[in-house]
Amino acid sequence: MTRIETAPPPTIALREIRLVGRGGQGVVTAGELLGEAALLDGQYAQSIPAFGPERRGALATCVVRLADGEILLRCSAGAPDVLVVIDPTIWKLPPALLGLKPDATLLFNTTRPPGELPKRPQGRVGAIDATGIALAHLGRPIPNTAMLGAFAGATGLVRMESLEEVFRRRFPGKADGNIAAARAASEAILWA
Amino acid sequence: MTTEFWNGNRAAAEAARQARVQVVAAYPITPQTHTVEYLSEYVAAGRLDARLVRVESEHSALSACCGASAVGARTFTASCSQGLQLMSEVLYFASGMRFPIVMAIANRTLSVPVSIWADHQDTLVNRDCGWIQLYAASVQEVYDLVLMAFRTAEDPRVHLPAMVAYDGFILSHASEPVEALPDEEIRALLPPEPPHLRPLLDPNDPKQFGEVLFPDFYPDIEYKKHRALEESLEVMGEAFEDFHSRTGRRLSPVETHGCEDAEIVLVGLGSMMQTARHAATRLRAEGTKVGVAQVRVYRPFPDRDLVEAVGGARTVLVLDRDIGYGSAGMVYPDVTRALYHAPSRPDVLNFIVGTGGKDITPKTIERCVELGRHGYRGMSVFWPDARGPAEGIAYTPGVKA
Repeated sequence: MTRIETAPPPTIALREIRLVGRGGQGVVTAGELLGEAALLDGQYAQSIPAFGPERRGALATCVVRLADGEILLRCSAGAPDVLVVIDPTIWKLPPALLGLKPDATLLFNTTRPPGELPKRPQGRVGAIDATGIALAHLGRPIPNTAMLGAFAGATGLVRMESLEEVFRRRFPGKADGNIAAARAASEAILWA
Repeated sequence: MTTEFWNGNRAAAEAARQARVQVVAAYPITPQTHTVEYLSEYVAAGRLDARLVRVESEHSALSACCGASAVGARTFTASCSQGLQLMSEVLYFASGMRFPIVMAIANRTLSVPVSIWADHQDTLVNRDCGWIQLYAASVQEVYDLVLMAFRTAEDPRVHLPAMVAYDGFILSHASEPVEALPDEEIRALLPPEPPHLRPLLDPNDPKQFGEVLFPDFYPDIEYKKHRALEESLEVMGEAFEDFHSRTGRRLSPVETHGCEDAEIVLVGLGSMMQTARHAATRLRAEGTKVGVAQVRVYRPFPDRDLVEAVGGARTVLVLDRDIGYGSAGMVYPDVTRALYHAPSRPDVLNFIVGTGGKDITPKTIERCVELGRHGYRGMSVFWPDARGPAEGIAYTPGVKA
């Protein structure tokens, strides 16, 4: 895989991102896309999905870890630095919020005002209408790529160019809508 | 070499494709299914010239593999859990008839209770069926070990089937960077038409095999099969050397980290040993000298490598992601047997962890080390994940000191 050498890669210690959504919304795919984009940035990445035997509509989570070097952790539990909630109906669900760092950044796909959303004591919370953005740019309510754009915009842990390159590889012929959705979402975050 | 972002099933399928497997017969089961789906995609796309045999069960899948191997085809399958159990009868046929079939296994526990998640129960209950058993700790290792499995299994000095086991979901569905070799390199690593893979079944030269054997000769055949499996360790060592010279990646039957000066050595199989390495770094920083020995080749059991790895450590903690009901974890007896003859004769304690997919975190490992440090004699098998009696830790007594 060729790296994108536009700027020096971000240097980071181990960072943990928890993606939460429902089966069918592309949670596992989002984890893979994010990991692959981080790899293009020159980081080391690991994406561990967790779901049960139930299918579409059930809770699906994915832990993505990013670091400068090899990651040895093989557990799904951890202390996430960032929570990305892809489904708009599970913003209150306790499992999504378990174990988050006190300064964790929380990003919700929601039309609720950000002040109503759960928040960590020292962290930021952002609201993005990712489903609306996906409908506008893709014509389908698949909010995963928009939420990745919001993640890139909010945290800088992965470069937008790398995400775009991964979309082009993964969705040949359909990348443009996803790129537009990701860009729009990165600029549409309402902070509490 | 290219860096890919693959999950474990993809890594197994890519290695099988690059090995130019000729026949694949498998039956779907979570979490292995993707492996065979990927292979069918490769065949459909013209990237792999193989015959995919659709079968009605795992028993038939392995039987079809035996037939294919008998006519000299490079043969691959994948399974786990109940599927592997259904194959059980045929596992012995494959090794008895010395078919170098390679099977990828995305480890999953056995029912009941029903669970789709990882532990090593499924492969460990099949440890004594005459197959080579390799356990991967990372997605990279899944890829590397599938290649090494073909190379070793097909060697004329070995001629035995091989399983490559990797934790379901934790490795099968997790993606991470994998250094993949170019197809030409694999062609050199695994010759296209090994002369020893000549067909056993040939209409122009009819013969029988897998026949009845009377008691007079039975022990001779058993001894040869056992020796071939034992000697495969040396053949695998050669394969590992060749692999190292081509890739720079060093594989060994037992991989050690920080064992040289360790007081406590953790021994076990699979991905949890990487989490153990992560935990060991912190424990060392806090002053506890912990080493980690990941057993990568489990059958044949690398006695000498293990004894060397443990060195002068006074305590060995065997982590078993399985349970041999009524005895101890299944890796434990292998380790104690090897260490009984070791010069240092350390205390060996057993920990049953991560069964049925229970998350093994650095805290789990720290808990084991904490319990092991006090060297509870007479409480040899601990269950740190289970809800225990009064003192909060479940254990089975073992032999009272």
